[in-house]
Amino acid sequence: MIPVSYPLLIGALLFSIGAFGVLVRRNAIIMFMCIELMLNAVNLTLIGLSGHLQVVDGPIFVMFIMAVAAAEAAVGLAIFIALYRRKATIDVANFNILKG
Amino acid sequence: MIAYHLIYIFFGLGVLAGGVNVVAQKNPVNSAISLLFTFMCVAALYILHGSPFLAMIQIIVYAGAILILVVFTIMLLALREPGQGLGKFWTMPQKLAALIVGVALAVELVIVAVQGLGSLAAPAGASLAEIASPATLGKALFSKYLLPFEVASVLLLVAIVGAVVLTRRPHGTAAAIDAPHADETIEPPAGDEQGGQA
Repeated sequence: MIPVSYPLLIGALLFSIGAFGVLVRRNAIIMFMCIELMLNAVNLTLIGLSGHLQVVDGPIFVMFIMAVAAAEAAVGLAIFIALYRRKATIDVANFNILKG
Repeated sequence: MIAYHLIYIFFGLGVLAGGVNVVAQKNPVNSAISLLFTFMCVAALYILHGSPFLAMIQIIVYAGAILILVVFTIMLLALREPGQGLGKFWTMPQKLAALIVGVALAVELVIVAVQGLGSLAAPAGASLAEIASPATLGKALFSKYLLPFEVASVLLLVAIVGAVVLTRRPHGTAAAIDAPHADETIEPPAGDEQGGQA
């Protein structure tokens, strides 16, 4: 069978790629996609470990993470549309009202 | 059995390559297609772990719902200015710091994973086929995890209402509110509409 190190390593690297993307990109939609990458990395880790430990909690948590990701997608993209109406851009460098 | 490992590594590399492409692409649409590729590869990994049910959920929820939402938003926003992409990000100190943080995070997570492997017990079955079957998941979801399940439904309802409220136009203003900075936006090419009709 698959060694448990495979999903752990893939998950770790995918999470790092997503975190790097959130830090380095200024386009709000691409930042959102990088957050989805990180959520997928966590899901993969949960699946790999629950297969190794033979517990049902991993897949359950994956389903809850998917539900939360769907809610996050709906609200986040609505926020992007509201921001775009206000400033006609979604470059996060332009949203600096709170900057001192 | 070696082919099993090779297929797993193939899709794992697909996941990582798709993830890198999401970050590196200039155009958000190209990033979205790369994200679709990543989601599909993750679904393939779920199947290799012995859980086709979760793979189907992954495709329906992520590739079917979330990604379509993202693509629709890209279309609605109609961004005309060219994206920045990664560019020469190593010349900017802030983004170089982001690279250092990302690499450090990767190294740290890999070290934790490798060190933790020793403390894990020998695998009992190492397959999800039994424990992640729809019947088992359903039983757990409606007994032990009933309260989180109900809370998740409330969360989704709140998200729907929030999305509607956030994107609603103020009452009585149809189109004017959509372009408060009409002088700043780049006008579409003049031949655009005629080209569409022809």
